[in-house]
Amino acid sequence: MKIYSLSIYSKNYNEEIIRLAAEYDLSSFGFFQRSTVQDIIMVISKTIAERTTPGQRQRVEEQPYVGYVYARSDIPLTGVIITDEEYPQRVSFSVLNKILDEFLIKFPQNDWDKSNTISYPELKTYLSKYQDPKQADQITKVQEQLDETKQVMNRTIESLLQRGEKLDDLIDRSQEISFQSKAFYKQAKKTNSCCTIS
Amino acid sequence: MSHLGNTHSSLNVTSLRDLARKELTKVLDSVRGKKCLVLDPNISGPLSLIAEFSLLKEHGVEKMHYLQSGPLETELKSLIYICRPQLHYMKYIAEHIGHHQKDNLSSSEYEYNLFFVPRRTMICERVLEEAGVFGEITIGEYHLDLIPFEDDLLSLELDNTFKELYLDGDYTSIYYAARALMKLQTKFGLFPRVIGKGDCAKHLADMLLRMRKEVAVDDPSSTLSVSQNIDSLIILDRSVDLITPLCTQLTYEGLIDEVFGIRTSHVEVDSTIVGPTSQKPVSATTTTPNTASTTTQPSPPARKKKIALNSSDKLFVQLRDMNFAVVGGVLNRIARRINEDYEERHQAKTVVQIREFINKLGGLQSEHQSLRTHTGIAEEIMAYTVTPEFNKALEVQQNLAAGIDINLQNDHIEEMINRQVPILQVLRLLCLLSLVNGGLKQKSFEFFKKEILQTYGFEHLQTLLNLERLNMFIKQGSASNKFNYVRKHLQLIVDEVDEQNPQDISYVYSGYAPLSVRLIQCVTKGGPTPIGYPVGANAAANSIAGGGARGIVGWKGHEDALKMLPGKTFDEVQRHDDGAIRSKKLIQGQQPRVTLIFFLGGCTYTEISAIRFMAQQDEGQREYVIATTQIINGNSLLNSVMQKIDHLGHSAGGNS
Repeated sequence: MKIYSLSIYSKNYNEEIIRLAAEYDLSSFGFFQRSTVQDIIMVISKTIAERTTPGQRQRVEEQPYVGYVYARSDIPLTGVIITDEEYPQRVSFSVLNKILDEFLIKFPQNDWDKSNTISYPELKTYLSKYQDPKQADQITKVQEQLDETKQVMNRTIESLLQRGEKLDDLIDRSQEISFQSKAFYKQAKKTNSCCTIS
Repeated sequence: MSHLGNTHSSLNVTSLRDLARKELTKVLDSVRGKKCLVLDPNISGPLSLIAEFSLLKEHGVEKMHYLQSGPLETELKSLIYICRPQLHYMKYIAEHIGHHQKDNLSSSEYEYNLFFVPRRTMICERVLEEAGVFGEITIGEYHLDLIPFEDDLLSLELDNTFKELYLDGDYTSIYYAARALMKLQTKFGLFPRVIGKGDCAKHLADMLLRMRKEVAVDDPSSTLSVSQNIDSLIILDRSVDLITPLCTQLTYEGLIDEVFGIRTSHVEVDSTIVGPTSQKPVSATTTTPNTASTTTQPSPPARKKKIALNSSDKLFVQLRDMNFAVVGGVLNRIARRINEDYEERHQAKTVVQIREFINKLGGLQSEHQSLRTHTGIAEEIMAYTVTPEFNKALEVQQNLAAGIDINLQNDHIEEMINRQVPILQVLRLLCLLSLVNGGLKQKSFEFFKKEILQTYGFEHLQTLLNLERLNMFIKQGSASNKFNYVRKHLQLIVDEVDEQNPQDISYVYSGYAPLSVRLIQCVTKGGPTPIGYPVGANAAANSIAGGGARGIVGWKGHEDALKMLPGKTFDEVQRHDDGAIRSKKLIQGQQPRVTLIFFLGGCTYTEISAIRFMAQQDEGQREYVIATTQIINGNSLLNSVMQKIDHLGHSAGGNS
């Protein structure tokens, strides 16, 4: 699973979409394809960002790419992440949350007009770091620990139940007992007995 | 011990145990410093039900020994003896003291304290005087009498009561019983009505009524009020119904007693029965460390395990009163259910679910262990009940109880003697034969006597004479057979018995309803009540229309049958000083009545099961609490009257 690009957009006073920062990782594509792919991704990202209303999160599929977009409602800031189909959705959105939050902290809204002077090297760092979704995601980490714990617990329970005499054995033995035992001898019905000693 | 007080019974039986604990700690605290406790072997069982070892340790007990002959080796100088007032124990104590005096020049180093249970006797003190040690010992009493086994079962744990009462003419146990019942009255209020049957039972009733007057004289300020929940005390003399204990018990707990022998709610079995040896052993619940153990030897071929049989084992509670024929099926059902519960672990996906499962796991594991134990025990019993000997004996019993083919049964018993079946089994059947027929014909009597002496030895002559004195093995007199009338009138034989869903108490013997319990049914309900049989007209007349709480009916309508049974019949009313007979609450039926039943001379597990069955039928209206001098079975009963010859050739009384 791979992230192909991270990009941040904003809408200017003319309602035009401006790209504030973007990074790409196209190492999985052949050398000659890369420029074409980058162009495609740029177009996709821009389109998605334009069409997303504030406060919305979306997932867009454009074979073989998947785009996740988050447009913040309070500030006209939109983040787009283009990944392959495998990359987990939840991680993508949490990555978007993170980069937008940190972008805001680093570059308050006033600075955005100077679009060419924005240098956001952290974006590249994040792009490479979050190629492994587990890095991005606390939740995934915890989930993995949980799964591991569950496995250990299950194994412990199994071994606990193995100790001592098996229940199957007891089931068989008690069945034997119930088959063998018949009602205790009952004396012949009085109607059949001919005489009783008085 | 924590299994008491779990059922919502009206009578607080746990308070009795707590009282006994308090008294025990008082006894222990009366001696300062570290002490060594010496117990008679028969009392250690009941004591372990009252107090666990940690409690004893808290009060300074460092070591414990059994009271037996031979020198007492101990470093501790403070000795506390707790034992029943029996002569041979006095001899052992005198021996111990003599030994210490010989060893140490300063015999005053040792401090001897002796606490009799439940009371001191003059004769024991005389023996100590004659041995010259009376001055060395500080004597006290530990008033332990009724020990609660379950919320509905109390026992005095006195041995050999039947023999003492009817063979030796020793009425000490009646006195102990009276004091125990008096203590109950002080706690729970006067018994409004005391009803019973049997000569010794009448003695007990008279003693009880007299004691109440004595208490009033001693302490005029304390007036006993009428009990709020107990509506009557029914005293049954063992001699009234000897037939029931002679029959082989067919309930699960009854058969455990017949096959293994239950002492003070514990049974000892081979450890292989209850689990593979690789298993961590289930901790034995006995608290008395066997320093002079007779069961475990240095290299044991099969180690023994002591198992507690009480209501702390939920599985046992389900099984104990059932007819054994259905136990296998129940075990099987439960095994499958536990298996299903174990399988639920595959459904546990989330952590929360896994945690829930693990919480349940502990309970399942202990159920599993309990299942293992009881499957093992049931298999052992099964092995015994499928033998032809067992079935033959059962056939003879059932035919005798029903009065069918008497002559044929004679032949069967003769055959058993020829095959050298254990003598207790043979004697049980012969006594049964004698009791249901009013004795044996002259020729048969002489014949069997000869056969027994020749096959089993001449030492049994005394045993047979004892049985004759007890009217258990006699020649037929001129009187007609009384038992036939009783059998018919009280419907002792019930043909249709459904072991799965019993309709009547006769399921405990697969067709014979215990006579003693039928008598209780007469007193409380007016007559035997197997479902499907018409209840006697008297009962209908006495019952309150609309299903209100029924009062005690008494012996009305059954006087004829009672005349056929040995011993006096009585029915007394105890009035409170202001003339009130019954508490208002009981009359208004606001809470279930408790009927206390006292078996003088012992009762069997089947009788207990039958009474519990009655309690189920009367649920919400009447509860039953059973008290007894001890729990017996046919073997222990006959053992107590058997003449024993030890290897020195001196005959010993039947102290088993």
